[in-house]
Amino acid sequence: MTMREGNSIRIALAGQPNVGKSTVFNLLTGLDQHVGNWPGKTVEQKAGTCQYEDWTFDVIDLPGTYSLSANSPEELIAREYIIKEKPDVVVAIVNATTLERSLYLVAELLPLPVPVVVGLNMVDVAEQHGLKIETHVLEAALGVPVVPMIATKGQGIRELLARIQEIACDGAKYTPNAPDIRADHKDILERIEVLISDHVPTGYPPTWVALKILEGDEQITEMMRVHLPQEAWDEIYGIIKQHEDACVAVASGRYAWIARMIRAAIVKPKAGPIILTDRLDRWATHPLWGLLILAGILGLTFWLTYAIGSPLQELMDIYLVGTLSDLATQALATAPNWITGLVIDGIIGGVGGVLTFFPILLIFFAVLGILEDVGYMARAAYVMDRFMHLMGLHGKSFLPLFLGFGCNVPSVMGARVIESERGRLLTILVAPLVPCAARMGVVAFLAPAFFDAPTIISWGLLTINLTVLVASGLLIHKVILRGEHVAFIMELPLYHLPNWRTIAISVWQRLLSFLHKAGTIILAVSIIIWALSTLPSGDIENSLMATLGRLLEPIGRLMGLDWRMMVALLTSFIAKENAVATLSVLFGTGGNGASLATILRTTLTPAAALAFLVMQMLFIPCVATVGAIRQETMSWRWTIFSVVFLLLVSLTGGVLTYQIASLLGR
Amino acid sequence: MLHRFLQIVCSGGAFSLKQVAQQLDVSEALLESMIDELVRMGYLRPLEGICIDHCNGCPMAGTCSIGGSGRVWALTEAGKRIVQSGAS
Repeated sequence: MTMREGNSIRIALAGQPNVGKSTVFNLLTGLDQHVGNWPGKTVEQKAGTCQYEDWTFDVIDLPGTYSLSANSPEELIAREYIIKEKPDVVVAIVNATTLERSLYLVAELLPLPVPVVVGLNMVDVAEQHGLKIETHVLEAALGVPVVPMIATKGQGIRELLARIQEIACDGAKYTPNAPDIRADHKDILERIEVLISDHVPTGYPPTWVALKILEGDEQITEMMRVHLPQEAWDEIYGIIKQHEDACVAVASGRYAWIARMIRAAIVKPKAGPIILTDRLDRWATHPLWGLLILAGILGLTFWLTYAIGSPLQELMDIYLVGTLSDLATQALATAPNWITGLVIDGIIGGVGGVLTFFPILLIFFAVLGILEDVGYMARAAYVMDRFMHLMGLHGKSFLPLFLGFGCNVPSVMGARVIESERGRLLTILVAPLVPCAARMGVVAFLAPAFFDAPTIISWGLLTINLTVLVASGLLIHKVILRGEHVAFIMELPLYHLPNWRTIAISVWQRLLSFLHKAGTIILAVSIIIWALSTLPSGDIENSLMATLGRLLEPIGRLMGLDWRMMVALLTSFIAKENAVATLSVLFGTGGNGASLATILRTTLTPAAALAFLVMQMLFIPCVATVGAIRQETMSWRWTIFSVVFLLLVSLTGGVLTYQIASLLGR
Repeated sequence: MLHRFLQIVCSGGAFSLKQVAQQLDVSEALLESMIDELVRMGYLRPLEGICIDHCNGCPMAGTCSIGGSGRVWALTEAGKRIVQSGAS
């Protein structure tokens, strides 16, 4: 290291973006600065001068960079300037609030042949965050001067200049503690250093060049390939090929070094919310308790949905459907019969029946919205993954599958995150077994109609679906994926109080989408169902729909279901809510005022009702999901396979449920 | 350190950042910085584009009930190779 001559010191300001480097530069140079471009580049270059005591400081502002790899033109400019222009001192501005991140650049600067002074900026903000940095300890650990600063208030600038001058004038005081490569790669680093030491271009430190070669730095590697004799290059090439993980070893050394610095210098008291999150997570992410809590929360969600939603739904059935029917009957008293039928049975019966879902969906979505907003959903996903992993399901599949509780379409689309084609395909195949909100809505409507204990029934249905899903997953895992797993890591955000506005917006968006569906697809299907159930003679028992339904009746009989129930299942293919709309039309609830719930309870045996619900839950997904399956698999063969597979699964489920329930019911 | 982290991720299942930070005896902030570096190196891949980040701009936002607030990263094939090369 050279001693300074004359009274001028050249300093380069380095730092990551957003650490306050520009503020420091402006403080140092004031108006005495000029702006140009780096030679041959379009990157802006700022330079200026400042005076301190008898010294003149020529300051150059290096581009903001996270590291000194050759990732960007900015990083190349910064490192080439330091190596080729050799300023007297590099000032590394680091952000005290994100010291872990900021120190990475320092770790890269220390092996370079220019002394470094660290400007520890934003110490005031760090203190507000509860971070106490012991500057003298950090200085001792780094082996370079560390100056605490609050650049926005101009604090620390004079001290910074004093330390720069000290180091620039007396290089002996500079004893940096640079990071090492991970221990198991030290020998190859040394070997490369020996091979290149006589051939590195002037100014480049051999250790740094050897590190960059191991890191896979294209620019440095190419430079050395040109300068090295063939034999030496061949040996280095062999070493690189043999040690694909060398770049990780180099970066590992830096992170281990940063961790040491942080442990030595930061005193970090735990903040309140972190303690609360920790306490809650001890339970919420526990392998056993976490699952039980998730099961409990799901149960509570359904209970709330029924306890509050069902009475409201009945009220809507009476006041909305009933009143509308009465009004329509009066208004259409003189109209032809077919118009009265279309409006009352088709439109009001079908769409009105589905619209009574509104309170149920409102509560269901609100509870889900709250769980999501307070941060619980990430935990639920986390717990579910571990559970599914135990069951042998593809590790990463849980993510798209979890989305399926909302809607199966994003669930199928979400399978894109799985790299392996087979894994993706099989996730798509089981995704429709996750009961979506629409299907749960139908259950929320029909379960109280059929049974006195709808919560237990819904619970059971959900369990059946998830069991079938897990069984299919197990089969897939063992037979087709053969135990392949993909691992991942997830961030669990802090718990926080719910933001009611966010929740309200998300609930509103979902309800709006439901209303849109009710006004379009469900309205259209209701009208078609009504038409098919009226034509040709006006008598439902001899209608086209009855003819079609009776074709399905032999299958329905295995589950104790008549043709109307089979048609309801069939129309749920267009949209799940159609099951209810169809039943309303076919049982003619719009006209006679009797609620669908009452009619259904007297029409079906409990075993048949249960079989219907099981089949409805396991049935082929809606047409939008099937479309998504076709789009994502890009194969009609797999799309048809999926439909047939689910048809068989749901049929088996329905028949087994009916037969077992009938036996138990005797 | 990065290698140990990749080994932990590779061992299967999901892990929270806090858990892994404790295992490696580093702060969560440093772990996040390590994750960024591994993403840059191509050994980890952020799972974005579905609903991991936010629902903003997602065409399915209206019908999807799970937005999911936690960020997720998965090991890439190159990441797996690194873990295996270390093991051998």
